Amino acid sequence: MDLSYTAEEQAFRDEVCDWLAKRLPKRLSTKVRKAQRLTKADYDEWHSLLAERGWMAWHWPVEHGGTGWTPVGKHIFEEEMIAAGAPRIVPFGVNMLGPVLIRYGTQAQKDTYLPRILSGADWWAQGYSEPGAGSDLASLKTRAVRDGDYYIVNGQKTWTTMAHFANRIFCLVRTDPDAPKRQQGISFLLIDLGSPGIEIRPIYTLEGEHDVNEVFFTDVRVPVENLVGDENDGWTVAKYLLNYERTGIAGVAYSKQALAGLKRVAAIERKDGRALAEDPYFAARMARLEIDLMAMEIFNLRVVAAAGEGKLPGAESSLLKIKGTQVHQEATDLMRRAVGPYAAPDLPEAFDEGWNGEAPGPDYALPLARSYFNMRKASIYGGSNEIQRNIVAKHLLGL
Amino acid sequence: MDFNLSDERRMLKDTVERFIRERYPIEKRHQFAASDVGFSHEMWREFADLGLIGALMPPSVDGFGGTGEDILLVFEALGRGLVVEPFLASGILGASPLIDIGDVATLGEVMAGERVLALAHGEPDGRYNLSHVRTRATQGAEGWQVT
Repeated sequence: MDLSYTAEEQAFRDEVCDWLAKRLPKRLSTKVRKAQRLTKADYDEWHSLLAERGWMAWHWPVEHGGTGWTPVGKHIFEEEMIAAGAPRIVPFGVNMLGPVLIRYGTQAQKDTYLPRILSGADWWAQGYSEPGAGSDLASLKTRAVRDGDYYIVNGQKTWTTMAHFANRIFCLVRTDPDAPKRQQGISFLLIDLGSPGIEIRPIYTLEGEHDVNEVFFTDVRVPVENLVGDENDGWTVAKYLLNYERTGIAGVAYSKQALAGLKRVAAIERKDGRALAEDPYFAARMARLEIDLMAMEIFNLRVVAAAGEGKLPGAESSLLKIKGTQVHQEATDLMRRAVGPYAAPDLPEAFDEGWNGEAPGPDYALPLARSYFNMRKASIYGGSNEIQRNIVAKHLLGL
Repeated sequence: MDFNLSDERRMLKDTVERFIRERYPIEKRHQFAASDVGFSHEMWREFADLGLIGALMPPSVDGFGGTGEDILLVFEALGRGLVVEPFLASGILGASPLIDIGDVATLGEVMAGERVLALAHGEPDGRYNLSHVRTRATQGAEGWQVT
C-alpha cells in the first residue's frame, strides 16, 4: 500500500499548474473567487482554452479527441483547476452526451455532434427530471410518438440546468407506455431547442438565482435520426451516463477550497475580542469538518485508484455522494455563520462583473448566505441522499 | 394550566387575522418587500388604525395591551401573513426604552402609524454580544454628541 502520487502523476500536476498559471484568465478566476455570475460567454471562453490544449474531453477515448487520462489524472486536474479558481466545465455535452454518443451513437451522430461539442458550437442541456419523476426517474411521462420520419414529443422537463444557454437538449422520453417494466419503454432523443413547440421558463432557486429551468414540449417534431441507441432501450443508455459521474461526485476539491476560505474568514472575524477561529465552539466545528473532509478525501482516492485498475465503483459512489454533499453543506453553513449578522444583507447586483458598490460589511461576507442557500440542493440532486442511503443499505449492508 | 384565550383576546386575534387575510395577500406582500423602503407606509397606517400597534403598548403610555399575550397574538398573526411592516423594530425594540421613560408623545405618533423607530444597538465588531458598546455619547452645552 502506497498512498503517495507517482513521479509521473506529480509531473502531470506540475504541468497542469503551470498551464493554469499561464492560460486561465485572471478576469475569470477573479469572478469565480468572488462568486460572481458567469455568463455563457465566460464558459465558452474557458471551454475553448481547454479545447485548444486538448484538455476538454476527459472521458473520451483519445481517438475521438479525449485526454486519455487515468482516473487519478482526472482527479489531479480537477483539484488544481478548482484551486486555481477556474470555472467548472459544463458537463452535459462533453462529460455526459459525448461518451454516450461514442458508445451508442451512429457514425453520423458521432461525426455531426462530437466536434460541435468540443468546439462549443453546441451547448447541450440534460432533459431528465420531470415534475413527477425526480428520484423515481423511470416514471417519466414525456411522450414521444412515432409519426413517419419523426417523433412527436409532448411533455415537460424540470430542473434543467442552463437550458437558457443551451441550443440542444438530450431527453429521456417514453416511447412505449405499455411496456411491462417502466424502464423498458424509454428512449434517448436528441432535440434541437430551436424547434417549434419548445418553451423554456426560468426557475429561481432559494438564493434568487436563475440556473435551472422548466422546458415544455408541445407537439415538437424530432427526426428519427436523433434517436440514440435502440427505441425503448434508452434506460440502458441513461445508466451508462451515470458511470462518468461516479468518481467525481464527492466534490472534494470544492470542499477543500471552501474549508480554506472558511479558515481565512475565521481568522479575520472577531468574537469577544479574539479571532473567531479561537472560539472553542467554532473551532470544534471547523475541526470536525476538516476531519470529515480528510477522511472522505482518502476514501475518494481509494475509489479513484481502484477505478484506475478497472474496478468501477458500485455503492461506494453512494457513500461519496452522501458524505461529500454533507461536508460541502457544512462548509457553506459555517461560512455563513462566521460572518454573523453580515450574512443577512442580499445585494443581487454585487454579483455582476464590474460592480463598484460598497458592501455593508466585509466583501467576503456578500456571497456567503447565497452559497449556503444554493447548496441546499446538493443533498437532493444527483440522487437524493435518502435514495443513496437506500442503495447503501441494500448493496453494502445487505439489509 | 390554561392555554385558552379570553374572549377579548380571541376577538382581537380574529380581527387581525381577517384583516391580514383580506388586505395583505402574498402578492402585495412581495411588492412591499421589494420596494425601496422594504415595507408600505400606507399599510403601516392601516395597521395603526386597526389598533395593532397600540396593542403592543401598555396603558401607562396610552396603549391598550403590551402584555406577553398581546404581543404573542399580534406577532403570530403577522407571521402567518409574512408581514414586512416594522412591528418588531418600532413596536418592540424601539418602543421599549421609550415605554421605560414614559415618552407618551413619541409613542403616540408610533401608535398612530405616523412614525417609525429603529433601535441602533449592533456594532460591526460586536457580533451578537449586546454589551459590546464602543459608541460614545458625551453631554455638552448644546446637547449630546454621539460618536
